[in-house]
Amino acid sequence: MRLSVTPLENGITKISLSGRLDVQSAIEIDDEFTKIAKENKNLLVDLAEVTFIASLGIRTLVIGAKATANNGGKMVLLNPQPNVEQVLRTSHIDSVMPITHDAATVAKMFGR
Amino acid sequence: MPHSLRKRQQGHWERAFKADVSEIASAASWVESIADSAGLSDAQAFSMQVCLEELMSNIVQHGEGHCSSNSQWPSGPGNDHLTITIAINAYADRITMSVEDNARPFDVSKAVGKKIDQPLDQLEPGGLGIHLIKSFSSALQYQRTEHGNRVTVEFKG
Repeated sequence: MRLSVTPLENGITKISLSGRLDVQSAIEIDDEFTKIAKENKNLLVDLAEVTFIASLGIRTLVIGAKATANNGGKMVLLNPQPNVEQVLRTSHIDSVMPITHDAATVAKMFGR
Repeated sequence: MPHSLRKRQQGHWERAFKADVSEIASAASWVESIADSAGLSDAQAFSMQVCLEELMSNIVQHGEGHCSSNSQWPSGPGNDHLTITIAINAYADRITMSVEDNARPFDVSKAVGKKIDQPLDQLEPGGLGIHLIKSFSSALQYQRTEHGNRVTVEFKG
């Protein structure tokens, strides 16, 4: 699993993930992902290159979303592949963080 | 040729793995290769991967007394004697995947699946695996065996 960070305009930080967000990867990126979430207010998590997600991966996202909420911000999930999105929506993660396929409206989702 | 037009290859595959996080990735690769050679649809293959991942990680995490608050559970030494055997059967109208272990008893069929149903500030991260297993399989059976547990999940189509 690869993780890269890109600062965007309007105080939004993008984390791009690539590969399988399975148990092993979730354990590997947990600390770094949480650290980034704690240091930022508005996080856009680009899932376009994520091919698989397990419950431990969802746990990583939830921990990150809680950290951004503690900073008065939020986390938005961008462009999950259909199978990954099915796992996300089956777990009802979209009730606590938005999922979007429209990058053009992301700033509005963060209230920018 | 699209998966929907490929003829299903019927057969039986079986392999044993250690109860270790690194072995889950190995098992996932093995199941992926079977799904491909058996001509399963992408959706079936993905559902198998979800169930495999969650069932194996449950055994690795809880099979020998490790608790979820222990961040070292993936590499804990207590699982050395645990073995996980995966058996896959492909039939004309369905696929079954059995996950058998020699761990302490745990009837996954009776476990209550948890989904995210609370606001973020009240939400305890984790614990979604059972819900995903039951959602991504069309049937689930549990058997207590002489030495452990056998969970069989079924996928239609």
